[in-house]
Amino acid sequence: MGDLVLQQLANGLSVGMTYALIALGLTMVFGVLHIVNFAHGEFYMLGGLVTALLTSRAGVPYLACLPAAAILVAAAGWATDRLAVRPVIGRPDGATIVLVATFAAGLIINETVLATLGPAPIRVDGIAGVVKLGPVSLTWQRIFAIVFGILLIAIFQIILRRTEFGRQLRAVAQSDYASRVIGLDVERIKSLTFILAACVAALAGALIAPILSFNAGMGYHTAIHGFVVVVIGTMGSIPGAVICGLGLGLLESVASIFIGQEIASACIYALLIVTLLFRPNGVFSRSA
Amino acid sequence: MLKCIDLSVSYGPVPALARLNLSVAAGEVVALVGANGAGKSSCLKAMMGLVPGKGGLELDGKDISAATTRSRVEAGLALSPEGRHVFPEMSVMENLELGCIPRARARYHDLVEEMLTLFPRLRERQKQAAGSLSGGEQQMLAIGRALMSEPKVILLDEPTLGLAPIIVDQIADLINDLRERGIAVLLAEQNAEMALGVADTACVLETGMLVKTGAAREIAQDSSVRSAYLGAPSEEESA
Repeated sequence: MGDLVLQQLANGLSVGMTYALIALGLTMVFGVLHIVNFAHGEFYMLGGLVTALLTSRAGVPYLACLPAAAILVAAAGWATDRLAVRPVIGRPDGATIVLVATFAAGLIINETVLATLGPAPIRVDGIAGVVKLGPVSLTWQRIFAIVFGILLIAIFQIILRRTEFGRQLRAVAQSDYASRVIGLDVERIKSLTFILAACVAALAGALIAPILSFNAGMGYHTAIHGFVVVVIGTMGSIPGAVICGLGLGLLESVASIFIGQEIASACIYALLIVTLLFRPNGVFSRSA
Repeated sequence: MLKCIDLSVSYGPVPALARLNLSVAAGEVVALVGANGAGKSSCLKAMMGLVPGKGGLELDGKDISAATTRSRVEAGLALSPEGRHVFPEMSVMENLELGCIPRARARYHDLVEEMLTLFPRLRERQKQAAGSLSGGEQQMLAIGRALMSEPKVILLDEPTLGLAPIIVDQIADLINDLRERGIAVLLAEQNAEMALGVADTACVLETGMLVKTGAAREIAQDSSVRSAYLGAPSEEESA
């Protein structure tokens, strides 16, 4: 049993990294644009789709698919921002309208993929090979997903803390008005944040596709988990998104040994309700 | 330097400022005096392009009335807003850095040094989060952040609001210092005593209308201004 738990912890880490990356993008968009992006899960799915098509149909090496997925999904993010976010965000009740508009954009993306490729999963060839660490066997793909995810989060932190764009992004997150007062191009910063979040989601999709296979519904399930992570980890908190994402992946993975995958997922939603009851602003909030 | 022509601001059907004409020259301090809701802040916000305004606005003879806030800042206009609006979770240095626009970037280190000399309290608190500073320190940071863009004209919106008298005196000294540097200052203040004491020219606003303008010293002697804003008894009360 101990070996099985260790194995599931190792597996949970790679899935948790995916949740962390998804939540990172969601929380960024919420923190800077103050909106909930319901199309976010579909950016993750599109990342997996680009990887699946390029590897299985065009024979492109897996590692070359990662930048391709990021760039192509950045374009999808740009289009979503232009068509579903910018035109409505400034209106009265803009945040609510954006919620519906991004939900619609997500449905359009998903239904288009379903209509074109069908619901059948597509196997994605990632990095081959298995590493044995005592009782735990890990594929190189899972190790790569964990390491690449850590690297991505580290790069993200460097961008936020050390670059001019990062400072501007944090400024807009803290005060839209003060950012305008000092002459920052707030709309541009918001658009770039939206696109950057789409890129991170695409990379998460590209990392997980060889592990779980691609299917058109993969974004829906993961986005819901992403929302759970963001709410538990406090809306707008990047450390909260990363830590809760990893925690959720580990918890779900280990719990599935004892109570099955579906019940494990249900327990996570129960955890969400408990958090909302006792820490409505999330566990990383300064106020209860 | 800065000239506004028939500047009007409305919030929906409610007029906040009606056809205001004023100008501020280099090294001149102009005070906008009036009660809460007189249209002072609306005037400054419209000049910065933060709220839509009608009418003309010229900076150094160049029409900037259609320019974005970003372009106005690049052109040499800066605002220290009412309520300070510093970035609370960022350090003092980061706040100053954000105020340094591309035009001023080559002089970034000199500008930071200038601000820390001008506001010694900020030097002591360089790494501290702006949100943890006192009200007076936040006000200094807001003004310092505006000055980091090397403005030709600085708009100060209620810089003494809620501050202790000793800090109010420091702000008045700072405004005198800005005048000596040749910066044009447009000061919107409810504290008329301070504003009229430091300004060269004053404009009195009432419900969005300019009701009096002239040399600040003369305006300060006007009986209606004295009774309305300086706490002096009105002529009727004196009689």
